[in-house]
Amino acid sequence: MELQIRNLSKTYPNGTQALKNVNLTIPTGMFGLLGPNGAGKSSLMRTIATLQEADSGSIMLGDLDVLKQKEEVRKVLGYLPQEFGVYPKVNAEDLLDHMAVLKGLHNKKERQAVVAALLQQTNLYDVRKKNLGGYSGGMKQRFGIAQALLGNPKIIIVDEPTAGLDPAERNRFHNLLCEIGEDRVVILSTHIVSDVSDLCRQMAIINKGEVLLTGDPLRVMDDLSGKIFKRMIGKEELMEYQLQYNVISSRLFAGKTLVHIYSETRPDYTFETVQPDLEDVYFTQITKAQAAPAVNEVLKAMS
Amino acid sequence: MFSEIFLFELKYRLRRPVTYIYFALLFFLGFLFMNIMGGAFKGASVTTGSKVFMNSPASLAPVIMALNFVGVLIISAIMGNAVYRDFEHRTHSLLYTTPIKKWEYLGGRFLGSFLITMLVLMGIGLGLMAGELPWPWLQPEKFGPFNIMAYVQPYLLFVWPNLLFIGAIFFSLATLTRNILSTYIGSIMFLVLYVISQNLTQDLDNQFLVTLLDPMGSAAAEFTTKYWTVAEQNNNLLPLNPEIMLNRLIWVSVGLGILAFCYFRFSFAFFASEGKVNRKAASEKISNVSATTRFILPEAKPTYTGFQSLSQYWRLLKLEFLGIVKSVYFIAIVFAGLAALLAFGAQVGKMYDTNTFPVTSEVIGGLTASFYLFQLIIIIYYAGELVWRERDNRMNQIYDALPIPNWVPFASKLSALMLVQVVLLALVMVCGIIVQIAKGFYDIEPLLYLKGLFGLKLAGLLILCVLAMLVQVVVNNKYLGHFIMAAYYLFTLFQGQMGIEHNLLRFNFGPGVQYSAMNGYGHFIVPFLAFKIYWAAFAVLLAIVASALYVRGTETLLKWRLKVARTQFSRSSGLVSIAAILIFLTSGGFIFYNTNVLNEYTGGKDEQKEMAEYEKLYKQYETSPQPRIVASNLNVDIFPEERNFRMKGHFWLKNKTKVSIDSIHVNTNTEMDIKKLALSRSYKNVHRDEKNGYYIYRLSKALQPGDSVQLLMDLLYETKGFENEGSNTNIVYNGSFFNSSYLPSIGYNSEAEISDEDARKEYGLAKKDRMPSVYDTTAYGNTYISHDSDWIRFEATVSTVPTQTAIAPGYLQKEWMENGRRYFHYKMDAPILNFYSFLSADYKVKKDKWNDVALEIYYHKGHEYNLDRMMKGVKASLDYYTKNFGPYQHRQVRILEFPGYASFAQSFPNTIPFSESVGFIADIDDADEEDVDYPFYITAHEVAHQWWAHQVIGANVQGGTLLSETMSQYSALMVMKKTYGDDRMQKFLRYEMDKYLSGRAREDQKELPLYKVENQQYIHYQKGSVVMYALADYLGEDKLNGAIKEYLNAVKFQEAPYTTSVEFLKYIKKATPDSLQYLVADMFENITLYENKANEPTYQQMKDGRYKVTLNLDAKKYYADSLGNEKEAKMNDLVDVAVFTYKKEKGQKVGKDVPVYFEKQRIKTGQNKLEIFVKEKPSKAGIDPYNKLIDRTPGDNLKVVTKV
Repeated sequence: MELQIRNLSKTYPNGTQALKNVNLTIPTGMFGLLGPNGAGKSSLMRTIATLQEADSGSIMLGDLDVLKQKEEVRKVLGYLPQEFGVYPKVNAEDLLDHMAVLKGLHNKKERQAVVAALLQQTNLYDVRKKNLGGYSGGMKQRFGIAQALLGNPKIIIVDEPTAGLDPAERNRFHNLLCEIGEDRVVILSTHIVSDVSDLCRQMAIINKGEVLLTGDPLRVMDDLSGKIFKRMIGKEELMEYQLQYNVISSRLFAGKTLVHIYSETRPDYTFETVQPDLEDVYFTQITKAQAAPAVNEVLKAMS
Repeated sequence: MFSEIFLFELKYRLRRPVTYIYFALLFFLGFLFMNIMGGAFKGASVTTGSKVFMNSPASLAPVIMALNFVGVLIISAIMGNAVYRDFEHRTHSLLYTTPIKKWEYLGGRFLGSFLITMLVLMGIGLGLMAGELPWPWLQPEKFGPFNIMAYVQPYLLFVWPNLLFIGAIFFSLATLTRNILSTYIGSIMFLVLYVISQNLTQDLDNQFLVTLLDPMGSAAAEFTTKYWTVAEQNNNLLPLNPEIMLNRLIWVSVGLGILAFCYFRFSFAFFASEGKVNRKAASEKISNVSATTRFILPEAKPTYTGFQSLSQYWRLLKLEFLGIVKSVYFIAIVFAGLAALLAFGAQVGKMYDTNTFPVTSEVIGGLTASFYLFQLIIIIYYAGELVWRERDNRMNQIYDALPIPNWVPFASKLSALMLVQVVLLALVMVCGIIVQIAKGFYDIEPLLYLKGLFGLKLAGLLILCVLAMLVQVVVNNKYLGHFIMAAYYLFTLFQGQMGIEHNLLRFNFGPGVQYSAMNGYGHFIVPFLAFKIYWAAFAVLLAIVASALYVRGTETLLKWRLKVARTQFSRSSGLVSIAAILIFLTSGGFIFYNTNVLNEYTGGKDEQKEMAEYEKLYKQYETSPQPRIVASNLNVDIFPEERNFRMKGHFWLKNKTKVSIDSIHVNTNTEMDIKKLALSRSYKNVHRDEKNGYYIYRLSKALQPGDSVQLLMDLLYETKGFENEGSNTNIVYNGSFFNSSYLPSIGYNSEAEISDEDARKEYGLAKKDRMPSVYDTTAYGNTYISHDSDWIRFEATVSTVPTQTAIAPGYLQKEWMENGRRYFHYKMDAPILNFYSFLSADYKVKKDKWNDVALEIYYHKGHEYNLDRMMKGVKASLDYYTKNFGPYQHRQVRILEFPGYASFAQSFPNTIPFSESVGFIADIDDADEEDVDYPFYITAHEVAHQWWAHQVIGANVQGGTLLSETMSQYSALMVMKKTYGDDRMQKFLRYEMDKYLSGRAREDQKELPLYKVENQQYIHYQKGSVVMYALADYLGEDKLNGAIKEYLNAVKFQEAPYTTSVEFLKYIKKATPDSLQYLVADMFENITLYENKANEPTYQQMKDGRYKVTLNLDAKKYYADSLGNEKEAKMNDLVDVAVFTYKKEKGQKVGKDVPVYFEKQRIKTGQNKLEIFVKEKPSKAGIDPYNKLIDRTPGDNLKVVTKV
């Protein structure tokens, strides 16, 4: 089964254009949707999850028209929203069982087995009798994925699942995701580049409602090979470099500033060639999209 | 810093659109209300006139206060949110770590919100003010000059102080509990206080307490203005009397106290953290190693069938239901409601402060009425909670993406809310049974509980649930939803006045259902069901709309929801909609056929129009000479099951005038189907107006003076289907009672004219006095009962079904069965007024005898409770009246119970129909001095009418009812006094005084002195009681009775011209010594009010052991005009002065004050200083302690005596 998104657009009543003519083909397996905060990831995810309408365009899940056949889509959907709460005074097992019924698992025995297995897999079995109000962020997130997995969905959407988790929790969560993403569509939206590089075989970068790039993370990194260079510079030099070069990222490193630039050729010997990672791809795309206006602004400010 | 927070709060509120929405809604409410009351909808509704201006202080204050009840919701939404929103939006941890001070933060937030709410609440006043502008559609005579203080005062005294109190509660609760739901506890608290104080107002002894208890202060305002006359209502602002000031002081202090408590309890440190430290955290073993097993879940195939959707529905229903009933707030509301219920239960069916037995129907009626408000709140509040439950828990996105059909979430929530109603009614039932058992009443009717609660009350509540849910779904803002529902509730109260009268247009309405022990729910059931089916079908449609618009997903704009609804609308909801539409139309059609085709649908307005038309067409014949009815001979067949009756027979009409009469004018009751109406001589029907029921017959040969003719008739009353409102309860399955008004009358009937001044003006009718003047001798030709007869001979044969007994005035001649029906032949052996009744019911009979007079009480089985009291009443009455007034003209007295659809008893010749609700189930405790034996009293009053009305009948002029009602009242009081003693009369007389004083405040035309009473109940009953009782005291009972007897002998059974109150007063004055002539004039010819008061009396013990009591008495006397404008009169009157001592009888726990000095003293206007010597130690002393004189503040007449 494949998810096909064609010409999807959405503008909110306040004028924000959340999605601009989005086209994506998402095959089975883990698919990473990478973009900064406010890029339109959640809008896209909610639209796929039948929770939001689109102004135009279509989404097809196999033969299903997601925008019209919502009921059918929901039968094969597992959704973990970016932000969600739980009934604080209910324990994990009861709530999961309750959700299982709502997902269509009516046979009590089967349902109990599935609930138990999910609690096992998400490492929540020991705390299944504890009220959800007392769960930590990571536990709650795992509970979230457990409920999304109920009913063996064909498409799973997880929206920013690792935000705010500590490294250990994040690691565990990755393992969990990795195991479920074999034979179904799993869409993982995130602003953390390593989430995608760790887990996904397909990805898209999205910013300001537009898809900037799609492809295999390895391939897209390869495409940039030989075009990313780095150099350590003084803090005060940054502005100058930004004007002169296509600086895609800068970060502090041992008190100095490490800049990555994009260039077809090596500008001069002071720059060192780097093997591009996904982060470079990401920043290249993001800056490319923003470059033109940003530079103009700087020029204007200087004149 | 404070000003920064304060200004930020103001800016925040001013930027929120909802602030303006609230203001606009309140403004609209005020505007609409003023327009309704100012006559804007007069084209649609009945015109009534009152002389009280709509914009007078006394009108505006209660309106502003009442409309502000809705404001409580706004206060809770704004004030509750002031600090709470920092928790809600989790900004508290940011704010609480800044260096602001506690008082700055709390104070700024509170005052900011407070100021905004003050302004928002002004919407009502400004709306009313805008409504008062001279719009062309308003009736200018309903408005006095604009008075800004009339608006400002209620705000200063009530609205804003209440805001402080209520706001303090909401603010503090939400701040301290950090739970917005808890603010609703505040509203419940009030409701209970309010309900309890409202309930207590019925009891005269608790007045002061009531004024203090009501946190809104409206009871205090009501107490202050309850005796205000039209003039006072139009001109006076509320005085700052102790009741109002103390009430305001208490509740504002409580509000400030709550704020102080909130201030001291609040702490940034504690509240910045998560608050609850003891929350159990679930800990787990940390493992950083990924699970090695492959992720395999057991096989479990999801299935989606209709049946399984149903099981999801059940599951969610259970969850939602338990979510409601387990919530603290639900439990709190229910407990508060139950407390109110039990408090109510303690005083079931009060009348004269005397309870009735807690029979099941009374308990159901009382409890559901008092619990309704709580149920309404639960519906409104939980509709919001249910619709927002997932969103409040931020689980909406997960839920909305679940594969459950669209109908399931909404349907489960709606059903949960409905199920809660069932549970609540079951609780009411349990409470009712507890009340009954606690009172030692075991005659519990479980089936009636089921019928009354689950058959009748439930349906309306369920339909209301649908509306509340729909509103919440559509507006998609919880608080706005609450507010709209509250506004809707207000709207239902006024829709009639806006011209929405047909129940097909009034959501969830229908003709009322009345219960009677005799007739059960009777014929009310069919229309009730028809309307409920109609509205239920409509509610199904609303539910489908709500379900379709139910917010699923993150699109909340109505535009999107409508679009989605269209695409998601399923075939089954389509089918259900079609079925609902069909049922809606069919039942609507059925109802319309009944209300508008089988029956004539007349709104109140149409009836007025017809009356005006009748007057315009036939007033010209008012003075044309007509014969008078001298005999009535009837066959009346009553068909209780079909609710029909047929009257056949004839009247004898006699020309009592001195001229010959060539045409006879006959008025018929337009409800009667005329099978035959003819004269026994040759004639021609020259005019026939079926619509107005006016027929003119020209005789071939004129009727000569002294000559007679028969009017032959055959009239059928047929009940067809049901009506929109107010079915005929005179003819019912069991307990029919109808009188001679269904029969024709002769000549133009001026009683059928519109009496309301405003309405007369509207229809272009000439101004008309309510009654002819007492000195208008041209009107002495008729009694006030009848315009076409004097004394008549009467004979009737009445038939009914075999299970019932049929009764008419007269003596039973014969009883037989024929054609499966039961016949009774009654004949009267003495002349009677042309005023008689027919009754039919399944009766039991209690018989007794007084001398030669047969006494019978026809009662409903099970209503034996007070038969002995009534029988005792009849005997004591016959004793007293025959001894003091003269012989009884009949050989029998019959009391006949009829269903409690009306609450009165009425005296016909030897026949007294007596409503089941005014005595048959009274629970009188003879040991309780405060209880009034009203079955006894009403019996005595009705028996007295056999003299006062059926022997002496006044002319149809002012003062006519003095001779019947006041005299019956006096007679009954004397019988009561003789049986129960002077002491036990006090409570009753205080009621009469209170009812007189509040009655004159509600007078809409003019108050008249007693001798000119124009059939005004508060005058001829209540003022009559007070005045006559005092007169008997001043003159002496025997002396007064002597004068009365002399008068009675002079005028009884007289023919025209009839007697008047002026003639009656002549006899009274003749018996009155010169020293008291002023008193008779004050009592009967003036509207006299005293302002008597005792100032702190003191005593000193003398050497001889006696006590010297020094009394300072204030006295004033006023004469009031017809609008209540008062003029002080010179006073030199005889007034009771008394000194009491406290005495305790042996064996009694509490003693009482008994008089040791009781004399009439001349009291002058102003200060009167008296010294009185008594032997016993004085406890209390004062002026007019038993309130014989009319005084609006009777409580200050008697004071505790203190030692010098």
